[in-house]
Amino acid sequence: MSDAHPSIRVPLGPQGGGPPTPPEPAADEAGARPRPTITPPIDIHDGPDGLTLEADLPGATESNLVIQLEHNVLSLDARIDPDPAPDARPIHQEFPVGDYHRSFILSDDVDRDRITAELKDGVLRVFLPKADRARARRIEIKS
Amino acid sequence: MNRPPEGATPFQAVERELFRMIRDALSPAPGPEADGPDRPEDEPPFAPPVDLFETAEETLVLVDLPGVDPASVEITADGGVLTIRGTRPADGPAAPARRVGERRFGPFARRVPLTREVDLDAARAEARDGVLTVRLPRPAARRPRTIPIRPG
Repeated sequence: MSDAHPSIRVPLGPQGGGPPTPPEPAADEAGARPRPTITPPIDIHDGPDGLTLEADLPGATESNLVIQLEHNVLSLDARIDPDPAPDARPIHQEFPVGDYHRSFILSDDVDRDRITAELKDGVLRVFLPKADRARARRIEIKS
Repeated sequence: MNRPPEGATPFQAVERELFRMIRDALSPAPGPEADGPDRPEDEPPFAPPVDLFETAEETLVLVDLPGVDPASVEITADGGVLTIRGTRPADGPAAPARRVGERRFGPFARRVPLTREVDLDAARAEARDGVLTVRLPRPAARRPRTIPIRPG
């Protein structure tokens, strides 16, 4: 998993492990209890036009998911609302209430201006197109 | 035992590994088919994580099933156990090579014991944002009631 990929690097470790630290939890109006960070599982596919990154983010919506690109670090953050109903009492919990966080280090091969993302049924798909200079190009010979 | 645990949470991975160890220890010869009578494929189903909530009127079962069409999920109840099963189709681009693969696909199955009496005929299921919610109302007779006080 740690094999050097030319266009994207995935820091290892449950918290990302890399240089970007998750944004420090702002003073929570509900209390000072820190929310756990969840590392969502991802897939990365390599295609002729670029990379496709998919992340399982059940519970994430367009309004609570933030995708940021800062320098060469692409980060996903989503804050999931806890309970299905205000008076619901948890009996058994396997997915902790917390915040999804994952970050990736992009190389210059990725065209930052054309990154697109879509979210459907809890699956995020981010397309990272190859920059023109990284794509194979045929050079015309002028006569 | 030869597959590395790759659950969504460390606990899930440990749980799966533990169950596998118990199964291996308790079933000497019959092979891996010790879990269910009708398994469609030889790949063991993965167990999606489940949350259980209770309100005064109903029990809520929440299952993380990102990318799964709710119409393809089979929900059955038998003897106080709710069973949720189905198959998650692979959703990536077909041809390109997969560089990193952490997400689970294929058949899944999850059994949830129900601790409270519920009215299965009135059960409803809905899916949103990759989370399946099964609502199991309490039988009408067991619901908390307010007894009106008549002025004497």
